[in-house]
Order: sequence, then structure tokens, then C-alpha cells
Amino acid sequence: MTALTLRGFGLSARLPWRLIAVNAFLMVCVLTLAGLGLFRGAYPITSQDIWTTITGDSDPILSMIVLEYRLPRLATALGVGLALGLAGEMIQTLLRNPLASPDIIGFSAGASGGAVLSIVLLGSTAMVAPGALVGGLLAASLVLALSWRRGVSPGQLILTGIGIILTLGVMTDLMMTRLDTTSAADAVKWLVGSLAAPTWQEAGLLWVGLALLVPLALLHQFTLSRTALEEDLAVSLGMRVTRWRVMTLLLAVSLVALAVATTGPLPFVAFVAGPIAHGLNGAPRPSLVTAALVGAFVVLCADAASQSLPAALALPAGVFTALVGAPVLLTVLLMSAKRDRL
Amino acid sequence: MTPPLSCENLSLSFGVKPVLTDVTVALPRGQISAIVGPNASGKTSLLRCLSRLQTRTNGRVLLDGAPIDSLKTRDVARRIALLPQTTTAPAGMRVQELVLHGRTPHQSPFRQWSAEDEALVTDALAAVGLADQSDRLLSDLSGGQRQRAWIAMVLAQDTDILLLDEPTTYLDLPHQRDVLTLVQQLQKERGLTVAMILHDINLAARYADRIMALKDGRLLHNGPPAEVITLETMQQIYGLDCSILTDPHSGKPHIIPK
Repeated sequence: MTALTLRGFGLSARLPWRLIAVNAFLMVCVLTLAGLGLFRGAYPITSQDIWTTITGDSDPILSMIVLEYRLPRLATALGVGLALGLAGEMIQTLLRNPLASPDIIGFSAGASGGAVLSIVLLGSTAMVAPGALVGGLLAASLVLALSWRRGVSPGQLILTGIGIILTLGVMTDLMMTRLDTTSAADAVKWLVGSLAAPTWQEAGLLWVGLALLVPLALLHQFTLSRTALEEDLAVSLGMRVTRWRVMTLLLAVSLVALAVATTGPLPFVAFVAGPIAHGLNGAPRPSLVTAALVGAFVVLCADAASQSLPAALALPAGVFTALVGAPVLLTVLLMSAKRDRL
Repeated sequence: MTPPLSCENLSLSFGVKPVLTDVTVALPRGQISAIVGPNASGKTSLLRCLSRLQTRTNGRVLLDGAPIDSLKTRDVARRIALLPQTTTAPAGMRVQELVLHGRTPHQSPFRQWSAEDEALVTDALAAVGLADQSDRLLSDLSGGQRQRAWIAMVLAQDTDILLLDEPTTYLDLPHQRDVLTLVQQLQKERGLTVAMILHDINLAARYADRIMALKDGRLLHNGPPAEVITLETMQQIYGLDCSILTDPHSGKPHIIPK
């Protein structure tokens, strides 16, 4: 038996053992990493301290550090990672291209542009998160609208995306030159993404959004795995392809929007989650659960790395996700070049 | 008797370019029909219009005598299975998973592996002779085995009507024969109504009960192989001078180009 059969109450599913094992392993890794995160940081904390914080009789500084800094930070890292991993896997499956990611459909570039524009227009950072969201949604809708030819074709979407991203990049750079040093420093989070000091309010909003979107996304796995087949095949299997493709895009864009509004566009997380997930579980696309867990793992690692540097050298977490992303990008490129030659 | 799938005065054009013109044809129930014709004669378009993958410009398509447009995509998929000419499975797909995809119109996100799904997938794998290969990666199979896996997928779809677009492309001669023998055998066992596009007129003569010949988007001939394959019609359809012998194995006409 290579798969576990679950049946009952009119429900049924078939789960390959390897997929179950990989998902369980990743879940343990993610939880361990998140748990260890509580002990990481400038202020030394022991497991004894954590216990007293939970039971409520620790000193106020300790409980403030744990409850107001480290926990929301870890909750944010975990949530953003899950969201980006899911979104990346959805887009890559939809476009049948491991090089595609939310960065490709223009969302991240739009979010950066929107955030910087809001700083330029208002002279303050008050509206940065809404600016980023509106920018991301506008850019993604523009890419979608421009690549609409009786439905969404994968190739067209990628080409249009690249065009819009380059244009937005130039415009964002231009706007950055108009900012003074302080505002420019504020804007940086919206260019690379950072996990520095999220509040419970931000983390809470993120998790409310996830509570709504993640079940929908996981339910969408069935449909996505069929609409990702060639169009004729998917239709002859009874799928209403165009409708579901739009649904996939909407779900993915909402997930990215949530993540970007919280931490700025952490580069490459959405992109690397899928290829790493499939390297591990050996299953065909999409594997939404595995990709989400890999996304969370990558962001937690980036957070750990950014915190392990001395404060003077502090770099935003986005720099570290980019460091992970570059080699994966190269591997995927080399592998697809090799495959195309065969 | 109402034909399971038919079209009346079917026309299709892309812009001003006509692809199909006034095609009226019915697939006879429980028989194999071969659609033949030169390149770009509209064979694939006809198959796509019949299965509603392509929206026609004019005319009607009838499924069991009722207009196909009134049906939901899923209901069409429960009655007509279609295997496109080129098929690529996602990387990492295993034979059993592919065949299970054929169950899609009978499934939902909550019901993905019912006892019926399992029975029909097992049955389809056995029918194409891949029962012991169900856990192999599709990419590790030979071309002939892979085509049989795809046929198992459309079998698992559990439809009465099976449409195949050039099921023998990219296969060598013995595998072409294997696949078509398999189709013939499955058709007989299950009483399917099959229509397939074939390039090789001799294979069409040998394996089909009926040949439908298209040229420039028009249906020129429609009848049993012995009627459709004559010196005159080969000249008319393909512009081909040939001799026609009798296939010593099947007794069907066999053409040899001059």
C-alpha cells in the first residue's frame, strides 16, 4: 500500500504515505523552529521564564518581551510564510511554470510601488499598508486584464507580468529619489520585506485573514489539480476552466495581499516553497499543505538568521529569504534547461 | 434509433476563415467511427465541436437527441470522454493518480476516493493491462504504456462515448496496432460508441466500422470502409493515385500509394 484510504460519512480521500510523512516532518520542523524562536534575541530567556510567563507570575519585563515582542513576531513569521507558500504553489500550478510566482503576476512590484507612492503623496507612512494593498491589487488586475484573451493563458500572463513589473520598478525607483532619508528608510520595508516589530494587532489581522482563506485554499486543491491539466483535457473532465482559474488567482492574490500588508513583500518565499515541497514529497502539483509548511519554514529560518546577526549589522528578513531564493531559482532554471534539452 | 452523438449543419469559422462547413453527421451507437482527411481538413475541430470544447459558429450538436448546450460541463463529461492528441501529465504523476483523474466528473473535493472510484480505477487499469504498473511514474513508462494509461483514464470516466484524437501518434507500428486492438476490444466489451481521428487510412479501414472523410471542412464521405475507400475517393480526398488491395488479415481495403 502506497497510500492511506480514508472513507466515511460519504467523504473519501486518498493520501500517499510519503505525503503524510513529509507533511508531518515539516510540521514538526516548523513548530520546533517557532518554539526555539521564543528563546532567540538580545534578552536571554530560559524555559523556566516562558513557563512563568504562561502561568502569569513572571516579572513584567520578561512577559512583555515574550508576549509583546517575540510571540507576535513568530506568529507573523509563521502566518506570512504559510500564506506565501500557498499562494506561490497555486500560481505555479495554475501557470504550469515553476518560475512563476506572485512576484510574476505583478503583485509584489505593485505593492512596493503603492507603498512608496503613498509616502510620496502624504509625506508620512500613515497609509503605507493600504497603499501597498491597492498597488498590488491594481497591478495584478492590470496584468490579468491585459493577458485576457478568451480566458487566461499561462504564457501570456507571464509575459504581461514581466512587462508591468519592469515598468513599476522604474517608477518606484524614480519615486524613491524624491524621498528624504527618513522616509526612504521607512519605505525600505515595502521594497524587501521585514519582520521587525509587528504588533499583535497586525498579527491578529493576518491570522483572521488566514482563518478565512486557508480552508478555501485547501478545498481548492481538488479543482486546481484538474484545471492545471491542459485546457481541453480539463474541460472534457467537466471543469469550468476559466471560472476556476480566476478563482485560483483571486485566492492567491488575497493570500499575498495579506502577507504583503503585514511584512512587505518578502522576496522569493512564494517562489521557493513549491519546488522545495515537490522535491520532498515527490507528488505532482499542487501540494498546497506541503508548500505552505515550506513557506513557513523558510520565513522562520530567515527570521532566525536576521536575528542572529549583531544589532549593528541587522538586516531585514527579506534579505535572507532572497538569499535562499537565489540558489533555488538557479537550480530550477538549470533543471528546466536540462529537461528542455531532453 | 437516436444516435448518441450527432451534429446538424455544423459550421465553424475563426474570423473569416471557415474551418467546418455544413457538417451533418451522426456517430452510430456501439460502433467505431474513424475520422480521416488531409491535414487541416477540420478533423480535430469536428471532434472538439462534438464534445463542446469548441463553440461552433452555426448548427446544432445533439447528445442523445437533446441539444448539448443545455447541459452542464460536468454532465457532458459524464457522457463524453475525450483524449486529446497531445497529452502531458504534471511531473511526479503516477499511473494510478492519472487514471483517478478520469473520475473527476463523478467526484467533489469531499469525495475523492470512493469505493466506486477505486473499483473503476482498478478495472480500467486491468482493462489496459497496467494493473501491476499502477505505482510507477508516468514519465518512466514507454510511449505505448503511457498511451494505455491515458486510455485507462478516459475509461475510468465511465462514459458511453469515447472520442480519441489520433491515439496512435508517436507510437511505433506494433504499439499502434496494440492501442487500436485495445480500443476495438474495449468497444466490444463495453458497448462504447467510439470516434477517433486517424491519419493512417489503412488502420482506419482495419479497425473502424465506419469512415468519415473530411476535406476542407466538408464531410465528403461517410460509410463503411469498403464504400469510402475507392480509387476515386482517394483521389478526391487526398489527391492520391493508389492501388487498392484486400487486406489478407481483415478482408478490408488496403491502399498502396503509387
